[in-house]
Amino acid sequence: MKKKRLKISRLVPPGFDYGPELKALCWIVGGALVLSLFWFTDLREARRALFDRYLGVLRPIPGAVMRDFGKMVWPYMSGFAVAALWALSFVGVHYQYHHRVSKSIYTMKRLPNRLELHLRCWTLPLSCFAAILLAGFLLLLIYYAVYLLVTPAENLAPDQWKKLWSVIL
Amino acid sequence: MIELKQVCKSYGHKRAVKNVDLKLPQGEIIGLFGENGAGKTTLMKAILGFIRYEGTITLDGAPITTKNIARISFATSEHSFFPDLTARGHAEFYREHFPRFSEKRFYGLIEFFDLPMGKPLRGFSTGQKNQFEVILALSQGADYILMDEPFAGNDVFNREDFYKVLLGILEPHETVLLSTHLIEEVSGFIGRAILIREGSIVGDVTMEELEEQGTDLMTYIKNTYHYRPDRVSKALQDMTGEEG
Repeated sequence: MKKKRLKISRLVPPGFDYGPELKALCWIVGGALVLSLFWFTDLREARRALFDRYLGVLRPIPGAVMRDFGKMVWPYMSGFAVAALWALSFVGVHYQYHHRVSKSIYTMKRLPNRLELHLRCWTLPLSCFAAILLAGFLLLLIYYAVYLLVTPAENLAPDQWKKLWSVIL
Repeated sequence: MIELKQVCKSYGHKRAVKNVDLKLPQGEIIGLFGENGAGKTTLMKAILGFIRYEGTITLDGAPITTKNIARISFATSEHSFFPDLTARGHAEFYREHFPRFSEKRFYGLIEFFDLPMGKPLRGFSTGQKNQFEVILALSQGADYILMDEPFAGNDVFNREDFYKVLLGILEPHETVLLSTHLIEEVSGFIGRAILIREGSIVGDVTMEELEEQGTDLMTYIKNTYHYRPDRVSKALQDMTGEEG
């Protein structure tokens, strides 16, 4: 565990306590995950709208179309976008660290390796940014699979994947 | 040798440094004197490449870049250490980035000044912070050590210790450019004095030259700055109406 911390410490400004930063990020990602789970209630409602009940028996409504996946899921995945942007905002905090209490920016600017300053300010936020986006995307794939699984083929609107990308982009 | 040719720096309309020509050879202890805002810090920052300037600054004929920047170290009253890093952490960081970092000198000076190794720098007293700042500059393994008011906030005993240590540990190839207001304190061990006023070099003299002239550094500085000894008594007379 100590070795792991030591490695991360080389990716942040010297002496910078990245613990609270990562902790806050974990909470935000956790919140984003919980928010995304509420999509299932929406999915259930959308699926229910494809049927009506006749004499106690569910029967498909002819011509009913399931709501588009992209439009339905996007509000519930926005937490990941917020978390990713939050992670990226740490870049500013890392640069600011070099002006706090002392002017350690002078030392960083004097290093034979001029990239060191930028590596230590960008690496962790950018890694977290990428990891959160990847996690969000993987979750999106899982939700998409669930969507396809629970939606009868005859109720599925065409070009769902394409529509999803148009919502994302 | 660090050589400055026609170096100028302006902040908006204010010219902080004007046409400075200067040579800083290896193996000298040089005092840089001037009032607040005279351009001492700006000159050092220009040498280190922290600010853009006009003119040229070279180190042994080559521009100062990432290839030779490790030959120059810097201690400043603003401090340039990492506040949340321990002394030990600084040693590791410097060892990694400055190939000539002297652990022997670093740990020797840490022990001499009795500084804690495992405490983050933000927890040090002002005097300890200054000491550590200078220790880093002296241990980097640089040929040119630039010090900008490094003893601001240190008591006189502390400073005296430092002067002694400085004289004792410096090697013949090491040059110190020391900016300070403590003229009388440093006059005993500097070999050359450079006077800067309103961004221009107004005096550059070796202590040998002063000795030959039969004068001392303080007198030389007062003469160069056209200091009027009667200005205090005149001002008091004007304010109180009493004859001096």
